Amino acid sequence: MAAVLIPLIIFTPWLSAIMLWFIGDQHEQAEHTIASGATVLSAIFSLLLLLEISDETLLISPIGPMFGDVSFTTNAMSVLLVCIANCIGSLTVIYSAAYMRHEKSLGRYYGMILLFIGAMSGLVLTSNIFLLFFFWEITALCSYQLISFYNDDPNAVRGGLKALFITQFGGIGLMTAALLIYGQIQSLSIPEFIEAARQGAIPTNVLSLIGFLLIAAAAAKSSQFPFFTWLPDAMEAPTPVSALIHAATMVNSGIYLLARFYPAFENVPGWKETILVIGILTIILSSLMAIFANDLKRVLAYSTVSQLGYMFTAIGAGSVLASQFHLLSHAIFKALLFLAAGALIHSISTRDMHQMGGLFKKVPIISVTFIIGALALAGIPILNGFWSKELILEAVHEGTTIWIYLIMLFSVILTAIYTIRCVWLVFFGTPRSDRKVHDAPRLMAFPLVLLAIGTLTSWLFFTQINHAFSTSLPLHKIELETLTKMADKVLSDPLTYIAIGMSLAGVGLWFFKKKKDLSFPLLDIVREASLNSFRFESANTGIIQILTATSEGIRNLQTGSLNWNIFGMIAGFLIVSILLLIGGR
Amino acid sequence: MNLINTMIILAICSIIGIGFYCLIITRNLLKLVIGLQILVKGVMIAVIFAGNVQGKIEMAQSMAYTIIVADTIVTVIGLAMSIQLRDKTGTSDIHSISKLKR
Amino acid sequence: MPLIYGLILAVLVFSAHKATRVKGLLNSALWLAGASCMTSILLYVMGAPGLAVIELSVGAGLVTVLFVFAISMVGDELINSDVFVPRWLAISIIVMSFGILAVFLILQRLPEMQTTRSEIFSQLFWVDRELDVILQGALFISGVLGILLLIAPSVTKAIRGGKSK
Repeated sequence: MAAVLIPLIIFTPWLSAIMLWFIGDQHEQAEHTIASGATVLSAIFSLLLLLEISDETLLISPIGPMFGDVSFTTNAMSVLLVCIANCIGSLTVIYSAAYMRHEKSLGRYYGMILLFIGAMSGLVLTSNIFLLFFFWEITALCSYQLISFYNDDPNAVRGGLKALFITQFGGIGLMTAALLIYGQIQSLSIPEFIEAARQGAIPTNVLSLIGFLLIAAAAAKSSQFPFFTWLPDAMEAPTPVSALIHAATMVNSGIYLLARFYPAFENVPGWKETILVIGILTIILSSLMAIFANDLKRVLAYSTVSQLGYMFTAIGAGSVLASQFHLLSHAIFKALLFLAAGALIHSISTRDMHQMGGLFKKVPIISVTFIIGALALAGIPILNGFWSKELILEAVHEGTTIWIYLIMLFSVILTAIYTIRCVWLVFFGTPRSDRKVHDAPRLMAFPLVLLAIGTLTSWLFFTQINHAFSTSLPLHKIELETLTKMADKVLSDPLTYIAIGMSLAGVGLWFFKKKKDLSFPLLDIVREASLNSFRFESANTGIIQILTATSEGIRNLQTGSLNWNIFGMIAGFLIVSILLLIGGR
Repeated sequence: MNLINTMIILAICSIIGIGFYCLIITRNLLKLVIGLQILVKGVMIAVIFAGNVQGKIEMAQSMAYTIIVADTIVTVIGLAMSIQLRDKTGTSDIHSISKLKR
Repeated sequence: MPLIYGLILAVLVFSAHKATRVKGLLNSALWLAGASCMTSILLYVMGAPGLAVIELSVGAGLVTVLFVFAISMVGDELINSDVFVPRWLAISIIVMSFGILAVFLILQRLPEMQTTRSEIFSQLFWVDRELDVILQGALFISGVLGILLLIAPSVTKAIRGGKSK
C-alpha cells in the first residue's frame, strides 16, 4: 500500500505541474482547477499514508552502486511533515485561486508550487541521503523562483537571490556530510548510517564533523543564527507562498533533518549544546527585530524565525517529540496568520502596519481568524501553540540549566509583546488611513476557517501523535504518553502558570509603554540595532564584497594565454611528481 | 637496471619535454600543432612501452590506435583554424584572437 | 640490440628537437615527418607492427601532406614579438618535472622488454573492437573532410587571386 501511495504523493503534483505547462496561461480557470484538484488529491493520499506508519524502510528500486537505493520510510515524523505539506499546500492553492486571480504567468506560479509540494514530500519520505539532497535542492530552487515571482520588482529578485545563496551554504553542508557518510559506511542509507553511528563504527571526530555540517545545513535552511537574514527578505513572494514555503513547510526541513539524525549524534559532545545555543540566540534576536518592524509580513517572518528557534532549542534540550509537536502547531497557526494577513493585504493593498488600524469591525472573518492564530503564537491556553510551547519549556527546564530556562521565559515575554503590538496596530485603535477594505471572499475564507479550527483542535490528537512517534521511531526513545496525562502534567506544574503570567506580563508591558510613551536610552539602542538587523545585514554585504574582490583578483590569473596555461599545467604536474617522489617510495 | 628500458624512458621523457617546451614557448599556431604532434608521439611510445613490459601489447596497440585518431583530428582542426586565423587577422599569432579582458 | 635502440632513439629525439626549433615551418614539417618515421620504426622494433604501419601512413603520410598544404596556404611567418613565458623558466620547469619523472620511472625496476611478436592483435582489433574501429574510421574521414570544408573559402580566394595575377 505505502509502496503505491508514496510515488502517487510525489508524482501527482509533479505530473500536474507538467500538465499546467501544456495548458498555457490563456486558460486561467482551468489552471486554478487543475492545481487545486491535484493538491487536494495528494492531500488525500498523504492522509491515507497515516494508516501506514511503521519503522520499516521501503525499497522501491535499486539504482546502481553509486547512488544507493530508491528507498522510502514511513515513520511518524516523515508522515507528519508530508501531511502538513500536502494539506496546507492544498489549502494555500485553493486560497491562491482567489488571491492570484487575473495575475500574469499563473502557469509558472502553480508549476513551481506543485513542484515544491512533490519535492517536499520526497524530501521527508526518502531514506537515502543522496535523494534527500536532491529533493532539498529542488525545494531551494522553487523557493528562489517563487520569491522572485514578481520578477520586474528588483526587491523581489534580490530577495530571491539572497535566499538562494544563503540556503546554498546549507546545501554544501548537507552534500559534504553525505559524501563523508558515504566515505565512512559505503552506503547512502540513513538508517544504516544511524545504526553504524550508534554502534561506534564511525570515528568520533568524523562523526562530529558530519554532525556540525548537518547543523549548518539545518540552520541555513531553517533561517537560524547566523543565516536568519534571508527569511524576512523572502517576504516579497506572493503571500500564499510565504504561508506554504516560508512558514509551514520548507523552513521546517532543517528541523526535520536534525530530528531525523538525532539518534546518531545524541552522544557527540557539544552537538546538542550547539543547537541549543543557536536556537536561543535566534529566538532573542528575531523577537527583538519583530518588536520593532513595521511591515506586517516582516513581523510574521521574524516570528517564524523565532518559533523555529524554539524547535531548535527543543532538539537541543533533547526532546524531539516537543519540537515535532510544536512544528505541527506552528505550521497550522503560522499558515493561518500568513493567509489572514495576505487576505488583509490583498484588500487594503499595503503592508505597512501604520497604515492600518481599527479594522476589527470591517473585516470580521479575517480579524477573528488572525486573532486566533496570534493567541496561539503568544501561547495562550487552550490553543495548540500553548501546549506545544509548554512542552518545549518543560523539556528545556528538565534538560538544561536554569539560565537557559530563564532566557526562554524572557523570550516568552518578547513573543507576547510583538504579537499584541501587531494585533493592536492592525485591528484596533483608530484608523490611520482612509483605505477601503473588504472581507475575505469565499475561496479565501474557507482555508482560513479550516486552519482556525485546526489551531483550536490539533492538540487533541496528542495521544495518537505520541503513540505513532514512540512506535515508529524506537531509536529516539520517546515515552508513551496520553493527552490526559500530558494535560495533567502541564496544568499541575507551577512553571506553566509562570509562563502564562509572563505572556500576560508582556501584553501588559506593551500597553503600559503605549500609554506612558516611555523612552529610555537602552530601548533606543536596541531599536536602532534591531532595525539594522544587528549588523548581520552589513556583515552579509561585507562577505559579498570580499567575494567579489577575490574573484576580481583571481580573474587576473586567467589571461587566456595558451602559453601560460600550459605552463600552469606543467607546474601542477611538477608538484604532483614531487609529491609522488616524496610519498610514493 | 636495464639499459634498453633506461634509454627508452629517457627518450620518452625528453620527447614529451620537447613537445611541452614547444607549447610553452611558441606563439605560431602551426608550430604549436607541430609541438603537439611531437608530444603525442612521445605519449604513444610510452603506451606501447608500458604494454610491452606488462605483456599486454595488443591492448596497448589498440589504445594507441585511438590516440592516433584523436591526435590526427586535433591536428586537422588546428590546421584549419590556422588557415582561418590567417584569413581573418593576417597573422598566425595565437594572441591575436584572445579577446579576454586583461 | 641496445645499439639499434640507441641509434633509433637518438635520431628520434634529434629530429623531434629539430622539428620544434628549426627556422621555417616547411623544415619543421619535414623534420616532423622524419620523427614520425623513426617512431614507426621504433614501434616495429618494440613489437607493435600493426601500429607501426598505421603510424607511418598517417603520421608521416597524411599529416605531412596536410601540413605542407596548410603551410603553402598560410605562408611562413616569423613572429618576432616577445614570448610570454621567459625561456629560462620554461627550460628549467620542463627539465625539472620530466627529469623527476624519468628518475622515478627508471628507479621503478620495470620488467624487461619482450621481443615476441603479437599474434592476436588483428583478432582484438578487427573482431573485439569492430564497432569502435569503424566509428573511429568514420571520425577520421569526417575530420579530414572537415578541414577541406573549413579551408575551402581560402582556397578559392587563393585560386582567384592567382588567376587575377
